[in-house]
Amino acid sequence: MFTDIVGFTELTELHGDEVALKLVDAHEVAVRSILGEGSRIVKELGDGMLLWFDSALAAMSSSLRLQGRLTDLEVDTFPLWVRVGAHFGTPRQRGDDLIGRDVNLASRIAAVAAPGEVVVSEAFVDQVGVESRAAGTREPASFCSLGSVFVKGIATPVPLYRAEPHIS
Amino acid sequence: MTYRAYVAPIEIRVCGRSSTVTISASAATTEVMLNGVAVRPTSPSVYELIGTSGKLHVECPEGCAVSVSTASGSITTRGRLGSVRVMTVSGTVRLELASDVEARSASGRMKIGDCDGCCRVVTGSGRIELDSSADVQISTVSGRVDVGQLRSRGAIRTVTGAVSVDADIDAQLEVHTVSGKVAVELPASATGTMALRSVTGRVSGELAAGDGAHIEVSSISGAIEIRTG
Repeated sequence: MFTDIVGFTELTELHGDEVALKLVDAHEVAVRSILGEGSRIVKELGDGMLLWFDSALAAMSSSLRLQGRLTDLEVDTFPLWVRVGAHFGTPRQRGDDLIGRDVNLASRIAAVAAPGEVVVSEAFVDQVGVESRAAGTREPASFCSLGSVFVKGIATPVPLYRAEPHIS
Repeated sequence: MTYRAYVAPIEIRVCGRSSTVTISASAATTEVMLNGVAVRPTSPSVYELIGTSGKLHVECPEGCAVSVSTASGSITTRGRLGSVRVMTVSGTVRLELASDVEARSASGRMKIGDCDGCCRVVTGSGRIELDSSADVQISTVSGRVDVGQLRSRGAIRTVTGAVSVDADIDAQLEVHTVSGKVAVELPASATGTMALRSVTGRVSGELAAGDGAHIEVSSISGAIEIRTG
């Protein structure tokens, strides 16, 4: 799963490095607050993070919780708008890092999301369904098709979905 | 008693990496045509059309649901369509009439005509022009946003992009921006409530207190102007 602070470059350009630092710090605090057992920050990418979860269901719930926490959050009056993209796959491990096609794809998926959104791949949607059925629980989100998107380096367009929390 | 057979709405999915995609919907058309040739559905009521370059011109009946994806190719729809989903990296998007719209681009410009229901648009830097919609959800980093007529409710977020909205008398509008200038215009007779906040930008608002519209705008440095007239 990738997270990315929206408009970070523009914000830094307009309001300086101090604001940028505060936003990155607040982003990290928010991300750490939603991580549980079986998940970790793989690496920090300046204005974003690569996260790993051992279950798609946990990743789904955590990403929705993250966006919920960020909805009205302000950092010194600046909004912290984050987009999230998630994919289910089998990345290769290199030390603490993860690499491979699935990681690249997750990164591209995050770029499609709007602030406050969680956008996921079809493989992710399928896996959430499998894990929900196995656990005997309702899926934590509904998935709205966005159609397919051309992703750099991948020949065929990739079907994507917007995850939306159920309204309780 | 008469029974009508259920006919699933036609769904057309078009992928064209750098193709220019044009979709023309017409009440006079009864089948789906690609570049003048009738095409068969890939599954009942679903047509999947794929091209890599050149022009893809699709003709279809009115009300079809359409999903189009390109990398750099432009996307144009003409006539009345049902649900429209478009995704492009850098292609220009022009949509005429749709029941609802979900459109995304990184840098491609979006020009959308009339949308009956929800119009959700996401761009990175592409400008967004929308003539009219009941429900607007727009997000862009640096693209300028122009909404000609907001009929019911809207939520707009930009980082640096300027926002201009002409809203109906009872519109419920929320705009959040970092540095974009925000201008909202309501009819002269409009009444309602406003919540306007800019940290360093100039704020000016005129709206007689009462029921009706609700306008909420926040910005860090962008100027905010609410006008009636």
